[in-house]
Amino acid sequence: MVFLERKIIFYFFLLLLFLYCPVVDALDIPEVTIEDGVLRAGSGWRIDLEGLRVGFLSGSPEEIGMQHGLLMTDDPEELRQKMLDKQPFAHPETLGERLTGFFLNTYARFQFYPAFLRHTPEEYIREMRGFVLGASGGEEEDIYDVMMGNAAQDLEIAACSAFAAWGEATQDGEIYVGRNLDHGGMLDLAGYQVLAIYNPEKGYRFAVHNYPAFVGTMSGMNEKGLVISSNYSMARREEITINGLPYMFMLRNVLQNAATINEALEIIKNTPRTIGLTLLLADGKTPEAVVVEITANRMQVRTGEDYIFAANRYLHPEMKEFQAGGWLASALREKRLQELITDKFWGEIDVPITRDIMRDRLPPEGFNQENFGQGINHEVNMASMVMVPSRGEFWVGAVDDSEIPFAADAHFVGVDVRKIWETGEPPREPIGILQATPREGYEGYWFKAREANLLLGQGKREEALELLEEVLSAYPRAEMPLLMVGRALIRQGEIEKGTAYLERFAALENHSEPFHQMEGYFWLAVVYDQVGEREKAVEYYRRSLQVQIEDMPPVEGGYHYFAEKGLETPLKLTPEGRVYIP
Amino acid sequence: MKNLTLAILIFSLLCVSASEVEASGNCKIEEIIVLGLTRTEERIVLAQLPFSEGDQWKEEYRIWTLRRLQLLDFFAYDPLRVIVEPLGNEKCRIIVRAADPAVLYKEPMEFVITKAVDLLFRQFNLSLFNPGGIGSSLKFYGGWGNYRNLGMTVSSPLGAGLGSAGGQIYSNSTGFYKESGLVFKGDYSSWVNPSTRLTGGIDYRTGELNEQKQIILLPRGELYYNNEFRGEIKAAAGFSFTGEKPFYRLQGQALGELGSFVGLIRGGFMAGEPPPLNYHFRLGGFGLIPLRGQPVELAQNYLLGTLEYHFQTPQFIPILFADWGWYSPGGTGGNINIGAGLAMEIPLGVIRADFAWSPVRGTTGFNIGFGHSYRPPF
Repeated sequence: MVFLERKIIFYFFLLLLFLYCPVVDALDIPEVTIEDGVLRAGSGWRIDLEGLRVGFLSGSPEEIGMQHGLLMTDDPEELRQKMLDKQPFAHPETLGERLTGFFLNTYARFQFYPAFLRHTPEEYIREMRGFVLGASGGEEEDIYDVMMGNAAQDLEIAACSAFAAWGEATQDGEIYVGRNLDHGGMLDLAGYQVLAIYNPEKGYRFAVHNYPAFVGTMSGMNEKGLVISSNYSMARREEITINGLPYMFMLRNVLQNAATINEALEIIKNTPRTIGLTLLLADGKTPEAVVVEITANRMQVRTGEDYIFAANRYLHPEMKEFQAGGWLASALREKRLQELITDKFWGEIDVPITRDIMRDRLPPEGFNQENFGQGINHEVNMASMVMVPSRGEFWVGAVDDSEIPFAADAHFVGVDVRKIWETGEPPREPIGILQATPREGYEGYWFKAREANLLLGQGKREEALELLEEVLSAYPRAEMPLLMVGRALIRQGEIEKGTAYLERFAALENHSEPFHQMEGYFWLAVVYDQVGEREKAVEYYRRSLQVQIEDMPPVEGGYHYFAEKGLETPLKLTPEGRVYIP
Repeated sequence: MKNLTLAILIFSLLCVSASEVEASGNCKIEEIIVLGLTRTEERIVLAQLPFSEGDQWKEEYRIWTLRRLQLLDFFAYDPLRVIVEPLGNEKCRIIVRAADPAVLYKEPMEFVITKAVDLLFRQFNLSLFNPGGIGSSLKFYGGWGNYRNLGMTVSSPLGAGLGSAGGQIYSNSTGFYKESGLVFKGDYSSWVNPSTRLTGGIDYRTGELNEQKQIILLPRGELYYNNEFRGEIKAAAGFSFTGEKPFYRLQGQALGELGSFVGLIRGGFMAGEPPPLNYHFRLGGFGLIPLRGQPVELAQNYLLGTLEYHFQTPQFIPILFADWGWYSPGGTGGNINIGAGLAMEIPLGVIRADFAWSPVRGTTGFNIGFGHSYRPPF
C-alpha cells in the first residue's frame, strides 16, 4: 500500500516535471552577436540607421520578449534606474516619505498590479517575462516592474497630436499620418526610442514606435495597412478606472489582430478600458481614417472627409460632457491642423509636408507679433513620426539626448517596414532622410526660447533668462518669452522688473493662445496685489476672467478659481513666488 | 517601477465609485456589452439584467441592474456601472462594466483592516469570492467570544437572484439563556423591481436551550425597500418539533433623511404563544435593536424611534442623537436615551464613536466601530 502511494507521488512529480520542461526549453536565452553593425539575438536584430534605432523581433512571445530585452537597449539597468528615479519617493529623505512610499508601493503591488495582470492577455505576460529574462541575462523573472512601466502610461497625463489626410487632400490620394508624441513625464526616455518591427507567432506583423520595456505601444502600423496612435483626453473621474487593460496593450492588440478600421473598433469596443483617449485609426487600403474618442466606459467614432485630426480633447458631441477640467492646449493645435491641412497644403500633402505640419511652430505671419511658444510642435514633444500605410513607410524623427525635446525638428529617417516584414533582414539604408531644422534665423531663436522653457522647468532660472534675453533683444515683441521672463523674475522676487515684462506682454495687441493671455493678466493682478495697488490688481483679475478659453473646462484650483478669489480679497505671493489666499 | 508613486495615489483617489449621473432618453437596445470580466462567465451578469436586446431602455433599469449585481457580492466597488451609449436613430448600446477581483479579497486594505478588526472582536470570516467563475462564493466564519460558532455558507446566482445555503454549530451564553446546537439556513433573494428586494428563507435549528432539547423550523419572508426612504419588513413563523406551540414574529423599520437630520422608526411584534427565549427580540445597548444608553433586555414587542443630527463638517462629523423606546414586557416608560458621537468617512465606510446616557435609569453606553450605531436598514 505504502509502495503504491510512493508510486503515485513519483508519477505525479514526473508529470509536473514533464509539464514544466517545455517552458524551460522555451526560455533558453539566445546569445547576442554583432556582425557588420547588426546586433543579433535569435531571429531578432537591431541596427542603427542614420541615428534611428531599428529592431526586428520575431517568434513566440518569450522569444520576442527576450530579443527585446537583449537588443533594444544597451544598458537595461541604466534605463531601469532612470525610470525608477522619476518616481516620487524614489529617494525618500524623511520617515514620512518612507512610510508614504511604502504605502504606495504596497497598494500598487497588491491592488493595481493584480488588476492589470488579470486583464492582460497571456501572450503579453509571456512576452514581458521574456523581456525580463533577456534584459537581466536570466537573473530575474518578476514582471512587476515591466507591467507597471507599461501601465504607468495610464496614470499620467500627456498631450500628443495626430492627423491623417487622404484623397483630395494629398498629393497622390494615399493616406498620410502625422503623429507627435508629447509627454513631459517621459522626456528623459526620448533618446531610447526605437522603431520595433514585429513578426509574431500569432496575428499580423506590425511596426511600432516605442521605448524599451514597452510591450504595449502608443503608435504603430501593421502589415494590413492599419495605423493606430493614442492621444490623451482627460475624462471625468467616474469615467476612468484601474480595473481594466492598460491602454498600450489595447493598441498593441489592435495592431496585431485587426485588418480594418471596423475590426479595430470591435476590439476597442470590447476592451475593458481605463482612461480617456482620442485614438486615430487609419486604413491605407481604403484609404480612410477615423478618430475614436473613448473613456473607460464610453466610445464614439468621429469621421472626416479626406482628413481628420485629434489632439487632447473630445470633439464628438456625445463625448464632450465627459471631459474633465484642465488645459492641454488642444484648441490651438486643432486650429493649426485645420489651417495647415485645408488652407495651406490642401492637395499637396506628402511625407515632407506631413513632417512640416507636425513641426508647426506658429510662424510669424498671421500674428501681430512672434509667438515663440508652441504650435502643433508641443513644448514637450519627445517623438515625431510620419506613416504611409499603403506603402509600408515609417518615418521617425531621429532624436538623441542633445535634441530633446526637438523631435519634430530632428532629421527624419524613412524605413520600409514592409520589406523588413517580408525579408526579416535589416535594411542596408533608409528609404530617405528629411533634414533637421537648421538652427538659424527665426528658428534659431525659437530653439533658444524652447530650451529656456525647459531650463525654467528644471529650475535653472539664470541660464533660461540669459537665453530669453537673447530672444527678446532680437524680437522685442516675442509673446511667450515676455511671459516667461516676467514670471521667472517674479518668482525670484524681482517684482518690479517682472511686472515691466508682463506689462509688455499684456500690451500686445493679439495673443495667439488665450490661456497664456489669461495667465499673463492673472500674474499681473497678483503682483499688483503684492505691491498694494489693489485697483490695478482688480482690473487685471477682471481681464483674466474675461478671456474666453474654449478648451479649458473649469477646474478647481485653476487660474479662474484664484482670479475669482482675487476679486474678493487681495492675493499674496510666498517668497518662492507661489500664490496664496491670505 | 518599484516606487509607484504619487501619480498612482492621485489616480486611485480619482477612481471613485461614482453613481451614474447621465440622463438618457428612451431608446431601443441594439446591443448589450459586458466589459471587464476576467474570470466570471458573461451569462452570470446577463442573467441579472432586467432587459434584453430589442427592449426599450428605461432609466430605472440602471439602478435595478446595479442592485442585482451588488447583491451577488463578488464584484469590486469600482467600476460597477451601466452605461447607455447612443447609436443614433433612437438606438443605443448598453455597456455593463464590472470588475471581478481576486478570489480572496476585493481590496487589499479592506481585507487587512476588516480581518484585523474581526480578530479584535474574537471572530473571523474568510470568503472565497466566485472561485469557479460561475458566481458561486464560499464563506467560512467562526467566533470564540460569548457566542462560539463555526459555519460555512455557499451562495450562488439563481436566475435573477441569489440563493444561499449554509450551516453552523454554535454555543451561546447570555445573561438570559444558554443555547447550543446546529442550525441550517437556506435563502433566496432578488430585486423584483428597482426599489424592492424580496427574500425568502428557512432555518432549521436543532440543539438545546437551557439544557432543554430544542428543534425549530423557521420559515421567513423579508421585504426591503430603497427609494424615497429605506425600510424593511421581516416576518417569520416558528414551528417546534419538541412540543412548544407555534409563534409568529413581525419586525419592521424605516429610515428617512432630511438635510442634517436622520430619523428612524422600528417596531417588532409577536403573536401566538410566547416564543422560546432565544427567539425574543434583544434590544438595548449598541446591538441590532439599539437603545444606546441602557443595557440589553429581551422583549416580545417593541416600538423604537431614533433622531440624529449630523453637523455638516468636512472631516469629522459631530452627531447628537436621541433614542426613545417602548417595549414589553418591562419597558413601558422612561426609555429615553440621549448621546453624542463623532463619525469620520473613510474609503471603507464610516468609523464612529458614541457615548449615550439614559437620564432616567442613569445608565450609559460607549461604542466605537464601523458603520452608524443607529443600525440603518440593510
